[in-house]
Amino acid sequence: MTAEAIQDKLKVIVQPYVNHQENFDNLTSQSDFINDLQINSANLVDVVLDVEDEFDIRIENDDMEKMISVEATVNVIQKKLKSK
Amino acid sequence: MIGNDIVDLKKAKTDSNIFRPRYMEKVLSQNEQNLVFSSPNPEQRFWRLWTMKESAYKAFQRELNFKSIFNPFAFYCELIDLENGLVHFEGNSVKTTTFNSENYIYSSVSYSTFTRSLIANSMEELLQNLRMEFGESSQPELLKLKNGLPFIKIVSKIIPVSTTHHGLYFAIQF
Repeated sequence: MTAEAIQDKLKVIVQPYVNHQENFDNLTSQSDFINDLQINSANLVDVVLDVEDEFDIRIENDDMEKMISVEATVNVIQKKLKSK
Repeated sequence: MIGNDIVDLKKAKTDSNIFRPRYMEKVLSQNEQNLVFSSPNPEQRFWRLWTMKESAYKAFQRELNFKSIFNPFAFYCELIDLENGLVHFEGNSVKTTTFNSENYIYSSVSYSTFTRSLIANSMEELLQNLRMEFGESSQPELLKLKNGLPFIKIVSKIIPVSTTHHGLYFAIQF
């Protein structure tokens, strides 16, 4: 799957947890979940779980700790999909 | 060291389903999960551990200057009594104090006895409380400096603070 396709799916996943609509509308690979999209940290867990379900992958802690921006999350997903 | 975190229990209930499959496994060690499920109030116990981890994260991030990570596992909680606890992180540990009310749970790092926490229902009220603390003419101003860390400016002094906001509650530790 291309990074763009993953990012599109990720955008749908994060939407219910976003607290900054304008930054969400202008989402880029550089968007940060906490500072830009203002996702609260308890919902970051939901993002990780939703990503696992959507892509049918399992994410361990050392990958989870990087998942604070769109780009880093897309990279983790891509890596996991390749090793499937 | 300062670091604090507040959870509005009502908002937490609508925002997060902590009992969703695999949720706790992503956040808590097996021992910590046992602490949650052996508690008469698992939900409150979960948020106590969560706020302990968050406040320790903020304290260590300020102290050690690391960039943001999302790894609740790196912060391991031990409960001493109903209020006090310890959070371990990479060989270091900090003491935390948790205040449990019906509506919110508030934890802060209690490294030094000289830190104070104020809790309010709005940013304006919090600033009003700071004015009462430092004097009417102190004109407290909240600033974010390097790495986005918060400080307050009181007259000409700049004091490091930790701030937290969730739902109806705003808190500051200094």
